[in-house]
Amino acid sequence: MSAFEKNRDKLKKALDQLPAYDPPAGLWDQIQSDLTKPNVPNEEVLHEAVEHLPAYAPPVSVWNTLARQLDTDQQVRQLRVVRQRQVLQWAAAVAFLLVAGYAILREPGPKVKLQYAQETVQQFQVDIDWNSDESIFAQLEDQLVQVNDPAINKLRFEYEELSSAHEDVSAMLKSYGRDPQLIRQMADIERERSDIYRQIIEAI
Amino acid sequence: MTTAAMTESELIDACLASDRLAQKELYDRYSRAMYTAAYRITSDFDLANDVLQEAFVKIFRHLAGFRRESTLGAWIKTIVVRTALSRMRREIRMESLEDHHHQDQIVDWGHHLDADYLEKAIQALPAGYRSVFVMIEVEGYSHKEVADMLDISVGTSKSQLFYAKKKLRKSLEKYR
Repeated sequence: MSAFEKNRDKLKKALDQLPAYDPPAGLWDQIQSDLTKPNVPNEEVLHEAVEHLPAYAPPVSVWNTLARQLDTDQQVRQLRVVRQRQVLQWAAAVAFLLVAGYAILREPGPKVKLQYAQETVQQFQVDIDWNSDESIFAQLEDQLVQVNDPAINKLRFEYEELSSAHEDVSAMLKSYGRDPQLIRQMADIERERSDIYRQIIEAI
Repeated sequence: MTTAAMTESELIDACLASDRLAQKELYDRYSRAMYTAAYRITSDFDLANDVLQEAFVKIFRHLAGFRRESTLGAWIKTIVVRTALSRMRREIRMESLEDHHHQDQIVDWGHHLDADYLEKAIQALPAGYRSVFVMIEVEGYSHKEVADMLDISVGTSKSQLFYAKKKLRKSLEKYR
């Protein structure tokens, strides 16, 4: 007995006593009629109809739009390839430079012997160069004072001015070293001094 | 060799090389069947145009991914059907139907069905019924495949088909 049923024997008894019915009179005729029809399963009728469903061709515009889209795709793809190639070329160049730089820096290079010698720099002798005539002129100056000639006095004053300039430039040469401009200036002063000195000697 | 004389494999290789004539040939070979499938699902010629175009763009872009395990036609059809379903996603509503009982019920198609009337009746079906009916009865997909594509259960696919057939049968009554 089922766990969901109670007094099942009563149900059984009632079921046994259920009435029976006769089919309607025309049913056999209907069955007979169906039997004479070709025996085609229902689904096959559907499948046959499905196979004969119409097909449709797309309009030309679909391909035209599609072709344009494919052209754009191709251009984009080509551009991407070119860019990738450029990037690769740059990357290769950078890599080459890095490798080359690394190799150069690692390479000790040819062995070089460094030789040096120590030289003693001769001190600039300004006094010796230009002051050799100073003592001679000092002796001459006393005689010039005694002569007291206006022309000679003028030459003497000029000489003294040049001597003063000579001392200034000498001082600058000592301070700043052998500056080419100072040396040229000193040479000019000495040339003028020698010229005046010669004129004084002639005048005497 | 002309593209028309190419085998399917040669055509695929040429398409992969971006040969435009080969692409046109492939399109010509399949466009009619695919356009028809797209129209059957969408029931709208304009939408079918868009579906076909979008699907073929996908096909040519992803042709390299075709593994040649199935036929090219089957692969193309899957893309077209998926594209059409994607376009119809908003309209396809799977009505919650009782999944049981219909196994015992019978839809009587009679002894003859006129294809043109059937076509009209299919196009008059709601989008959900139509999609399932077309995919299974016309395009030959299994309930499992339809369930996967529509993201529904196999039971829902079966009940949708049953009710689609019932509705179709009722629609076809008036053409008798």
